[in-house]
Amino acid sequence: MRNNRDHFHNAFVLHVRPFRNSSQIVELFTEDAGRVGVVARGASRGKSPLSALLQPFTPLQLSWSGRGELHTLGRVEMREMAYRLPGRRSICGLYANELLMRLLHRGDSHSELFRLYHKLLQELSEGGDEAPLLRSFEVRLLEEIGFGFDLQLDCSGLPILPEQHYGYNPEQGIVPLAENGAQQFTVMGKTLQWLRSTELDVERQILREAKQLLRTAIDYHLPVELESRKLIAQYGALS
Amino acid sequence: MSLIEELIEALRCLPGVGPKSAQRMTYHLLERDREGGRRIAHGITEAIEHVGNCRSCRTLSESELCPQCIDTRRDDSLLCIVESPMDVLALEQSASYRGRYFVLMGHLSPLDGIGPQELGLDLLEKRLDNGVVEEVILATNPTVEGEATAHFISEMAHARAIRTTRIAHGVPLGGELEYVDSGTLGHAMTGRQDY
Repeated sequence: MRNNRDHFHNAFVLHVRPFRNSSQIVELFTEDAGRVGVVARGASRGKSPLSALLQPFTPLQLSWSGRGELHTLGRVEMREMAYRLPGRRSICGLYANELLMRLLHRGDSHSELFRLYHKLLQELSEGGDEAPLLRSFEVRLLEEIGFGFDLQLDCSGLPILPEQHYGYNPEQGIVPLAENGAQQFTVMGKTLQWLRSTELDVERQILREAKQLLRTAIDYHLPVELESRKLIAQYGALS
Repeated sequence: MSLIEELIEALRCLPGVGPKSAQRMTYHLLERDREGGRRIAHGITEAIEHVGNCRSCRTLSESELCPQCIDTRRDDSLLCIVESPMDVLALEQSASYRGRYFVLMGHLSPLDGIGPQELGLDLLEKRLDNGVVEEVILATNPTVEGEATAHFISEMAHARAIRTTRIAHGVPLGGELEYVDSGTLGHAMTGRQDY
């Protein structure tokens, strides 16, 4: 891959933290190079136009140079206006960022996931229910990084039936429930079928089950507590 | 490490001070201004020892309550929420505000592990509960995290039927539109007012 200042990459900022005097370390999610860390020199100097650009949820085009773990940020341009995620939705966006930060390795390319992330931001900015959008992103994210579920067949190779109860075991996958009594939760076959298509119009019960299933799977691969998830819960406690 | 090297290294923790300037500062103090050096040393020791956080608004303060919280001429019904003590200074210099402050000392940032607890929002909640505040002015930074923080606090205020306002964002005074970044300009356009 070309790492020079004339080659522009499509990217989103996942996270920014201050570095030395006036620089920032910026974690990017890029279309062709996956997660990339760059140093933005002078970005936190008072009136730097860089810090206005290097905000999450903004479709950017940028270049970098250098080898190793951290590259040096070159030029940055805004590709489109930033997606404005009002209120709670911005926490949902930050949740997606936290998932990407913690689940992706630097330098693994995920162009399809980039497209899905872009779509998620767009849909979050348009309003509507955020739960199906998040579930859809979570299930595709797990697929993309190789932790996906088989949503066609259960662990014994039989087709998923809509009215059958299933459990989930990270080692085995989707388990028909008669085989395994000690399950923490159950999902109906129709929930698993919904996860294939993730249409927006869906019953609450299916969403609840999907959330629990995906949460269990994500927690299995990510043994740290997700701060943004805690924050969403605290939001719920406010009103 | 020699004493001189140690001082050079120590000075580098200051913002804007690299190895070269740390070296110049060290040699300047030792060669020309030992008295000044003593004053700095004394000032730093005293400040680190005695400056804590205001019990009421959390800003940096050497007494239990900061000057803005003690001042009886200020309007108790207005509460301005800012991210840092420097923001209080900036607003005070603008001489446009005579209410009270609450300083978060940061913003919500899940990836840095900063949640409502770290920002003292439990303290803010108590303050909103006592019924004196009639308007919460959200003056967090216009960043994604600053906005998320503002919204979280606005929900807290709404739950108690307290009015919330957000400071306006837009074109700087004396600025020229062509030099304003597109994000700010977009914001200024969306937030336009009757004239």
